[in-house]
Amino acid sequence: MKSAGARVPMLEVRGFSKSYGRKKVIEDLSLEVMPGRIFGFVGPNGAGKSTLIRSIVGAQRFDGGQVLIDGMSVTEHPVRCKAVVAYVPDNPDVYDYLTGGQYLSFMADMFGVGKAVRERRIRSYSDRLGLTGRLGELVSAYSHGMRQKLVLIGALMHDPKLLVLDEPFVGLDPQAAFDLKQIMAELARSGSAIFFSSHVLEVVEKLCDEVAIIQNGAIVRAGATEAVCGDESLESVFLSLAREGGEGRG
Amino acid sequence: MAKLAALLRVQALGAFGLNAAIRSTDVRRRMTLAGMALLFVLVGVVMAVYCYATGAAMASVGAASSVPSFAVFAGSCAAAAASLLKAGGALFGFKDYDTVMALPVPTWQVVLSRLASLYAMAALLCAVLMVPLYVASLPAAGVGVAGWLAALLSMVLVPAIPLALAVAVAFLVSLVASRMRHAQAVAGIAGLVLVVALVVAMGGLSQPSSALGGDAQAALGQAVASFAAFASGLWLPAGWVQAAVIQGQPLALALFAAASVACATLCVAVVSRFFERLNAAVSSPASSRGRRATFGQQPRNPVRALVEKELRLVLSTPIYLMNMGIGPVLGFAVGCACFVAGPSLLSTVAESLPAGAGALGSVTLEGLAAAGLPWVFAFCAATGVTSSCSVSLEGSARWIMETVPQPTSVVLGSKVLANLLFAGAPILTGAALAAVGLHVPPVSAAMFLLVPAAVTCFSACLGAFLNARMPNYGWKSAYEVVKRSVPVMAALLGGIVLSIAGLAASCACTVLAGGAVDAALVSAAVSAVALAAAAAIARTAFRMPLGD
Repeated sequence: MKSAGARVPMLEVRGFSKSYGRKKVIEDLSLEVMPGRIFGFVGPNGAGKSTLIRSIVGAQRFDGGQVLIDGMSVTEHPVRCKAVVAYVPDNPDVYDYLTGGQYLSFMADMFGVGKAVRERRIRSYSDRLGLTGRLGELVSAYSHGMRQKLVLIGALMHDPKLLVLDEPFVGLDPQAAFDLKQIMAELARSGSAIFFSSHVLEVVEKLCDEVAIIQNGAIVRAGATEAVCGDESLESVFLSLAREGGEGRG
Repeated sequence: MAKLAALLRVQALGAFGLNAAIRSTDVRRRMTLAGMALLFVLVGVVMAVYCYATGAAMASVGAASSVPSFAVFAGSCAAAAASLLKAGGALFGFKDYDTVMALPVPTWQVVLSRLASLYAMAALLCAVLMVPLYVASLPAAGVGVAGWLAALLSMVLVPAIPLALAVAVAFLVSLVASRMRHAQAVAGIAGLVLVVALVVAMGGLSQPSSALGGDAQAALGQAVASFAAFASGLWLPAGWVQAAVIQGQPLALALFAAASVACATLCVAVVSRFFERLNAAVSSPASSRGRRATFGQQPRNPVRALVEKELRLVLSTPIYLMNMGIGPVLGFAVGCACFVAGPSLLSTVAESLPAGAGALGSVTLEGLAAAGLPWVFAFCAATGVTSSCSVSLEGSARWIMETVPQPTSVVLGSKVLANLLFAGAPILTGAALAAVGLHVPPVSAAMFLLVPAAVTCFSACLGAFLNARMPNYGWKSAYEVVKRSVPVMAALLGGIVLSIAGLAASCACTVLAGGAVDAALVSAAVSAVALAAAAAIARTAFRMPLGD
């Protein structure tokens, strides 16, 4: 996990800025994630985490800067970028008129995954996440956690080079959360990069090689997890930065 | 009661996006809502004018005294249909159920607030239908003040019994839908069949009375009276109101009022008593719903996968299927009717018209039909524009559409293609059957296929373009985007205007030039323009980035 040797970052964000109307949400944000690394992105509600993530995966346009996936610009080559990225949104809303199996087949069709590979991956991941017996049901009958697992399996279907997750642990049962952490670690070991946001700071601290803390649309601390935390826990660092940010604003 | 008032206020503010219209700071959104309100008023005016004309026509054939039962029957049907569409979402398995039920408010007040909003909507619809009917016909029936008061009361109370029945049916539908795998498709198809049957029946009832001679008028008057008697027998409240308004029977009015109030009270009481259990039954999944797990179908190319997904969405969303399916199904039915009846159909129509109306100079009814029928099929196709809300219907799952590695041309193109399959296939089949059945000349027969195909392409591309430009992903019910969105209205209007313009041009050409070939040329020219416009719109739409 920690031995990334490739020179081209799998994800590179340069001078990113985004406004909603007149309100600037993110300004001049830069970061990069190398292949084989797990990058945690933390910050308070409304700091701009989901805004950046949605722009990275091509779901949202942005005003300034660049987002490069494996060296390609998402604005210039959106389809090629999307082909190597997988996205797990914070709210796992999927087509509830499809069955779980139909949804996974649909995603495999979209990413051009062959029959043998899709069968193997669907079986493997759904067994692992305890969803196998429910794939024949309509998604409308799924609980939040089951939908989360389904979206995750759909995201892993094409063996993405960059996995982007927005609050992936929300709604997962302890076993599924454990399995997800394992899967993320395995993917990173196989050379994929992982970029995720989370409010579960303990998990971020344990799982991530690098971490960035965002406040009011700007990164206030970033780097290797050990360097960011120092002798403190990530929670302590986060809370002290939040206090400083609050005092600065006040 | 203050809590009930607060609940009622929330329901009222939520109705038709009223609060959003008042409070939104987004000028574009406010304009959209204002446009929708204007459109609703226009539709209401059209309905009222149509009802006034129907009432006047009934009075002119001597059936004015049958109008009250007809009005109550029509109002009840409309109230039942509208309540049925809304009751499921308003009462059973609604999104904020937990939030509302956690409030320190008695259950009956929650139920009453929700039923009251349904009742208000149904009463408004009844008023739009019944007031013009009464105004156009009751003076001719010689009704006094007491009769008018009874008529007024009937309008207020008419929704009560249909609403209670609709709530019961809505619960059963919701329950079945939560248990049955293809319940949504079944509900949609059943609704579609019902609506088409209603349209056909209304078409049969609204033959122009002015074209009929004296004997025919008398016969029609008798037929209307028979229908009113049938309606009174089938729907007892219609008979009670008829007796109260026309014959001035106070007992009948009291019976109607008592039955309506009792039904409404009973509905509130029963639903309140079992509200939690009903919602638990609707929202709990059945134990044996799942099928054996599947581990991936045969790979499909992305366009096919997307088109299949779009068609599944249509089938699994009853309001979507019913709204968009009427035109294509009617078109197909017209084609089948022409095929079965053959050329004799036109002779029969010609014979039913007054002397001279079947032929305009050297132009025959056959010539006019050959020129105009393709545009009738086009009109039907233009009403099945699924692409006009298919982008919005991605809703909160739009992240899938936005993040799959497919260009806009594939994602949006698949929506256009699904529209072409959904509306074009039945319409073109119907048009081909009509061309064969009516033995039209080869050039005209080609127009039977070209014209609907061109209009379907135009509507589908226009719908997809408009919806991609003005998506509404924040809907709570599919009803909002299927029935009340600007792209749907605009795309429908575009296709309908094109069809009517084409119909007028080709028919005018037939009358003026007197030959079917000239009309075919006009149809071909208009179709070519429609296809060119469709291509230009598609080219623009496919370049638009999908995403927020």
